[in-house]
Amino acid sequence: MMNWSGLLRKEFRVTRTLLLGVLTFDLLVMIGFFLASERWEFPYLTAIIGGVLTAIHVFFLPLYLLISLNTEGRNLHLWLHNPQSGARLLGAKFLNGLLAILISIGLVSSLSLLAYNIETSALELPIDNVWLFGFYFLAVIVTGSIYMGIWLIFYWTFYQVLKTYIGKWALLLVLVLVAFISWLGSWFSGTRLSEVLVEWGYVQLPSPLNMEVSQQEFGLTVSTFPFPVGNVVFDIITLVVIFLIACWLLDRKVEV
Amino acid sequence: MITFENVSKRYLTKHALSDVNVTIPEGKIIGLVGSNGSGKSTFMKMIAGLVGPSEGKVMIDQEPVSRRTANKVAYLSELDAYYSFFSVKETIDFFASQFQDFDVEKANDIVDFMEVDSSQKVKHLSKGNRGRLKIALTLAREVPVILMDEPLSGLDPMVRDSIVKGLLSFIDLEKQTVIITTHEVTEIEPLLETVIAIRNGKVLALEDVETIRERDRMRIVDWLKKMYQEEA
Repeated sequence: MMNWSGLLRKEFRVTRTLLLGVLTFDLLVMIGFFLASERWEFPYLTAIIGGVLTAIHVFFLPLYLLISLNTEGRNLHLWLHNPQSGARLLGAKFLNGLLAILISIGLVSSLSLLAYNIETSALELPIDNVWLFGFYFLAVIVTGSIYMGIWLIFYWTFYQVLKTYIGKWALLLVLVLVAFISWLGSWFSGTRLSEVLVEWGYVQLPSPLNMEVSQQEFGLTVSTFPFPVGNVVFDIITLVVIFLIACWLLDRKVEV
Repeated sequence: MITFENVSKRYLTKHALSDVNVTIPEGKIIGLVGSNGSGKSTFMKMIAGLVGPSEGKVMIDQEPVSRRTANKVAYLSELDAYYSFFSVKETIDFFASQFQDFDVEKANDIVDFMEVDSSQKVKHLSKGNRGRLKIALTLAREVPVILMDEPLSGLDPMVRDSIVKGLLSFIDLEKQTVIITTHEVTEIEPLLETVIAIRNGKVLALEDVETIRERDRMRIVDWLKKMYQEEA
């Protein structure tokens, strides 16, 4: 337990300045646009900018991990001369990045919601729909960032394996691999096998975007939409396998 | 006991080690000597599990070496690498959290002995003090194998002297085997009990220093030159 908390503390220190920089940027942008929206009487401007800033967070985890991993990459022996498993070394980085994205996205979302409540507009959206839409939006951004973050860990580890043997050409080969895996994923998603593996376990989830339009009024109500649980299960299994391959490569194949 | 069985290490066009067969005795201070690019660092990294053999096996106590052999091996790299954001004390605490065998009290004793300020950030230490800290972090581990790759490199004579003295004071040869590579062979010669000569990735000889002195009436540097001449 002590070695895990020690690793986490170290990971936090590796990226502390970066996180503080990101949070400062978040605050400055949100406060700046809030003041601008007040001055120019542009309702919901801060909430819209908050939405854009939140959407950009989809790239947060992979970039955060890349910076953290590259810091270790410059002194690989310092990181790898450690009896902890590859899963722990990489897991501590991933968890630290996940906490960082949650802190940053939490800050932006809270400020967006606060601004939404303060700013007034002729168009009043039902608060239930706003909460539900916000939840889905955050879930999509965070899971998208996790997805890219884990693939980033895999590609970075693979790059480290290749670098020992082919030096600068390793990056080119990794880019080729990225292109190939993207093509493979796109091809696979159109196959019958993919349909079988992914499209099962449909559940009805509440939808915040059900519009009701009549001559008197336009409104949003909460309805439902079908969502395949199989898709989530397939993605989780894929990510776990990718992460375990990265851990194996780190333990067995990466050399300093 | 550390054994290399038919160990070779190849990179695309380069052979770092070629068919190395050697058994390294326990409980001694061993010098690994050879010219630049002879394979000393690769040899050390293989024992630390940071480089794997292309062929053959490296074993410690009959078990194949892997990265996680770090629980049996303390490795001091030739590189000036450290977590710059930590202070000396935080660095010691971090190492203590990662290695169960790490003796914090001993680390603090070594740091005090070498007159390094524990409260200073590592990035603000002089190169000499960073070298001393690396030594402290390595010697504070209660492991059977200690590897020190160029521990004296780039340090002034005063620092080198304190490191040599520290080595003697803080190693327990009843339980520990120490392997040192260095170009300052003369300075550590009084410490060494055994020496391994390596050239172009091949181990030329493993010999007791006492034997070299009595039988060959040579210092280690002269013995190494003789080995190189015979091999050429």
